[in-house]
Amino acid sequence: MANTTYATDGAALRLAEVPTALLHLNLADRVDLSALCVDLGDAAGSGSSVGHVPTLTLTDNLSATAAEDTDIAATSISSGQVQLTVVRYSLVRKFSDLFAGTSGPGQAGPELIAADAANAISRTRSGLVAGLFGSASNDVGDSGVDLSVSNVYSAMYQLMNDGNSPRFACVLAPVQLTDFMEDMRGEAGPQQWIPASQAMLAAKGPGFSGEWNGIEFYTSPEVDTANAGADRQGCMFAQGAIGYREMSLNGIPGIAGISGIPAGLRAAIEFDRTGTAATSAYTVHYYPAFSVLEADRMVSITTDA
Amino acid sequence: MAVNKQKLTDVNSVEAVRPSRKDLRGNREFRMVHYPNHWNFDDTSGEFLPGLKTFSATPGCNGTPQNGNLSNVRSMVADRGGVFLEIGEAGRRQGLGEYADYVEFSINDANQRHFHTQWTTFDQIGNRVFPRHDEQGAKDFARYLVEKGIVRPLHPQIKEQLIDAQRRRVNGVRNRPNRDSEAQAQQDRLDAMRQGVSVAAVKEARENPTSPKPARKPRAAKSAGAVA
Repeated sequence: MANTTYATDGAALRLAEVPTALLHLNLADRVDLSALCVDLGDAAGSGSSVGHVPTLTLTDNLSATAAEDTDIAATSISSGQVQLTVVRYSLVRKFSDLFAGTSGPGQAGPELIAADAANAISRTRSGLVAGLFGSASNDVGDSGVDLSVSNVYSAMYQLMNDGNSPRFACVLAPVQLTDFMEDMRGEAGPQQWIPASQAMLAAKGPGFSGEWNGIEFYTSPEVDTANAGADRQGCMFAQGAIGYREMSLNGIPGIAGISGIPAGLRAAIEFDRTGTAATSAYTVHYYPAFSVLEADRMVSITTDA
Repeated sequence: MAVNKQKLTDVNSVEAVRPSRKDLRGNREFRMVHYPNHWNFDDTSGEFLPGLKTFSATPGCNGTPQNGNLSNVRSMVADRGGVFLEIGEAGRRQGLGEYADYVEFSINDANQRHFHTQWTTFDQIGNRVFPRHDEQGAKDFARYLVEKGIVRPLHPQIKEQLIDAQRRRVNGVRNRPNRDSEAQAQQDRLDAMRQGVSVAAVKEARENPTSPKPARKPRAAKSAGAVA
């Protein structure tokens, strides 16, 4: 009498394969750098897609007059404006009924994938913030040379020389942070005894990577390359360097099936049904605008990729 | 907007494998800009070459509207003393010549665009995609910008700042234990910057003090309106 085995009877009596209890999410950036920027409000109902931030420079001293009764000329003020134009960013995911209907407990169904919309918006925001680093007219670092402690000091000095006050934020590509950690391993003098120096050497994930010398470090894969791909273009900046404006969609008539987006996000998820194709889709709509408010509040850090 | 299109399917490959999205993410379109105080010292030629930043040409960034009109960012770069490097016909009018199409893009398997410069190519090994950067090509471009007067020559004051930063780097390394060889390498670089020669020439002169002193490279022709 033959044994009952998986090899002979499994095909009829068992499933080919089943998902495990764990749905493993592969590595993905979920960092939102907009928290480092100035929120300039909601464009909804403002009257224009273009918002402008008036800027004013008041650095003039009084002047001694030639005599006590000298009539002096008026000193003009220095003014300008920064434009923020909200534009549309969208992401569509589309599912067939067969895919959605067969989704079992713990499996990646439409709801789970739709829930990633908030992360997609975070990534978009971070990309837009990192896209502004090339706007910094000041720069430290050497092309093709790894980021060093000296570079971080140079960036800090540059911000201080321009009159900025801490706290500073420093957003780097992951490779730049690890280069910085590598260089810090050999740091000597008083710096090596600061607990923050030792804490910076600990392994880190994406996003907030520690604080050192009054500088908050973040990493993001959205940080652009520079010098034709040879380098990465991170940035250190002070409060007020970057501003953003968004447009909420709550009041838009005709968005059918609009769903609640995670609290605090000015965005919308809209559901569509195409009956003839037996598919359902959701679309995330997001209307952001990011801009540098003052270039002297930031310094780019361009070092080897 | 004229950009060259380079599909990954054109890349020589031993097998027809779709590129991995992890290796080739969709990214933002960009232009290059140069600001007056951004220069890099080239160890091999012994000259300072203009540093080129990546400036996002993305709607929503710095006042760029949905249609991608870059007039706002052009004036923003100009306000800060920078040079905005155009592409296509505008780039040819600017004098970029053969470099006018320096922005290219490749398509990944999610049909997203991955923008890169013309000095980046991709090698596909299995299902991994590895970028290859033509460093010399990028340096030639940077040199071309100065030679054609598109970027003004390095200002002496900025050169002093760059040398000063290198001097700080030498001091920083010297303060560390067991870093003699690195300190010497940084010192050679500092000397090369000061003398306007290659790092190799400085090293050679140091190791063979009787050999003739390295010849200073001839200075690049100055553009009209160059700062003395």
